[in-house]
Amino acid sequence: MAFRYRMLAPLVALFVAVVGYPMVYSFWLSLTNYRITRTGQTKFVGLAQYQALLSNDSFWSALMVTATFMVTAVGLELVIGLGLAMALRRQKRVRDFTRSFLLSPMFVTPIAVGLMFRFLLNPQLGPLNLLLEKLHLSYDYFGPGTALFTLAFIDVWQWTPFMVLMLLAGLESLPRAPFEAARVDGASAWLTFRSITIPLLSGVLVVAVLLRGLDAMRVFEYVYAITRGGPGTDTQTIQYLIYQTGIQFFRLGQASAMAYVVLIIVLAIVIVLFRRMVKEARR
Amino acid sequence: MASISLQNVTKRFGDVTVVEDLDLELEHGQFTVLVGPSGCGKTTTLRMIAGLEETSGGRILVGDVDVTGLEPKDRDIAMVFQNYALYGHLSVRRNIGFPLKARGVAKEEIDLRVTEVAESLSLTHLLERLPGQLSGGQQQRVAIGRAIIRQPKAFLFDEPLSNLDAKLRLEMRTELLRLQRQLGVTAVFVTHDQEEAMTLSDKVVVMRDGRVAQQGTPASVYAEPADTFVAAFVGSPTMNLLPGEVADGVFRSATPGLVLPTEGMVPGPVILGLRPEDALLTPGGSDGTIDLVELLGPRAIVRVRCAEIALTTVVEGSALAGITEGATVGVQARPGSLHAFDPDTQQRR
Repeated sequence: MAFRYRMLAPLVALFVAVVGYPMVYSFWLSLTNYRITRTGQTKFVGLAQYQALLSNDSFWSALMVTATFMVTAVGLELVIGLGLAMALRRQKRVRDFTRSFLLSPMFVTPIAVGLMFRFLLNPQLGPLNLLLEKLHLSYDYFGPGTALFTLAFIDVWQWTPFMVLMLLAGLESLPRAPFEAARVDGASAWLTFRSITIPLLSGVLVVAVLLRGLDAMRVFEYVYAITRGGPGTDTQTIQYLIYQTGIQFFRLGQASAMAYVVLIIVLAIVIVLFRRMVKEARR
Repeated sequence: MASISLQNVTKRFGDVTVVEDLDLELEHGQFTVLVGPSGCGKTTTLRMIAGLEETSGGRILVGDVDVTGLEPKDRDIAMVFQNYALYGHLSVRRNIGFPLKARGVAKEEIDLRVTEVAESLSLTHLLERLPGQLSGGQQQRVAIGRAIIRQPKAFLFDEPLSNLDAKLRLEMRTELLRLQRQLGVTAVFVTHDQEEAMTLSDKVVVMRDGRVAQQGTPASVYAEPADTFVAAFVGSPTMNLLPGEVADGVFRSATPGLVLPTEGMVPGPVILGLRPEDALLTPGGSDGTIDLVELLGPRAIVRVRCAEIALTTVVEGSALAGITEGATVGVQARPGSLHAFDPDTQQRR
């Protein structure tokens, strides 16, 4: 074996053991009717699990819930993040402090964030509800129709700083000349933002949305810590459904098929966005 | 179109004064070139005229209007940047039309004006391309198109030719001059290339350390440099500056080697200026040995050593017979061509 391949071999072996084996094993599980409680009756069922998913309402509903969560959370994070990044770029004093302070939510583990908001927004004990009560107002943060958006808001609270970080780095690396040219050309702030800032920043925007989108699609901790998929299935995201199917109901074959469908969707999104990015970069 | 007037303009970055008490009158319809070495404040001056840098003191007037505190868009001045500053994601058509779009001009009017400008700059066939698909010269023309489309009061050029190769630079130089003459617009051009300054300008402003070292027509600045800095900066090859003393109508260099007759020059210590083209290699005068001959085509730059003095001369092609490295020659000055500078103040006498 050539020296370069021998040098690569340990990493390849590690990759195969840590990533390859679980991937292959879970794919094999998705082609069986494997249940932890009936391991003796496991048999190969081909694509039956995938076919069953097509008529599984819970699965499609969970995908919709996840998509709604993702679009709401990432959309808000993008808008707020871009606004904050543009404001921070112009900041002249206490820049370092502001930036570190703004990033702090990112360093809290999501499960702790979930628990924190569960108590903050609790209808009986939560300080926010007590405040609303004093104003003779009431709002059910975790009720039907509101719970998912509350979870999205929590995600916005925790991950907007990430968006700020990415976009601020992007904004600060933009060339100065086109902006100066626009000033001389007489462009208004809005025209400059729309015609120059956004197009020049598009590469960073795509990466930031992609990273946050993929992360939002994995949402599990907030659901687990706060709503457990409820009320009803209002907040039953795809990851929580997979967790329930595989770990609570022991149907690992079905859960693996779900996971693979999600993987294909994610890969499709990533490929489309990256192709667009490469096309943009070549222009 | 309008004149531009800078009155006691100063620019400081922290403790560093980049431009100090600058007074300039850039006349209506003239092509003025600000020239000087890197860091002399010429680009900062241009950016202050454009409104891209705030002044730390003084006033800037465009026509009769004090624009000192105005935003660039309110000054009605167009600028061509060193790296062109084109909008890379917009087509040539949209780049050229951008200033009109920014001013809310109707789309039909923009299309019409873009077509006219593109025709005048031979860009018609490139209108749908992106700047990245153009050569440096074509990008430069797009930048110029973007500047002229809105018929501003004045044009500012920030070293716009420095990124082009030598041949293209010459072509664009002619193109710029033709355009400025055709439009009759006030233009301010910044460069560190004195040759560019001399060929383009109606008026040349030589800057040094944030101040004007000398201003005037290219011919007057060349013929009568105000001090040794201007003398050495303007002209290529640069002027020979020789410390020495004038006595009895003769200049003797401080470092032995050169003796030249100086009619009417005030006796005493002096820095003598001798343009390379005014140093004649003919029999008689001081003895010199040719060190190096750099042939430029129609003429040659000849380095001559007179004892311990190194002298640069220019010899026309027709007079190159016998001018070979190692040959012994006589060095004289063309009558009436010598410049005298005060050794203490470095100013012209």
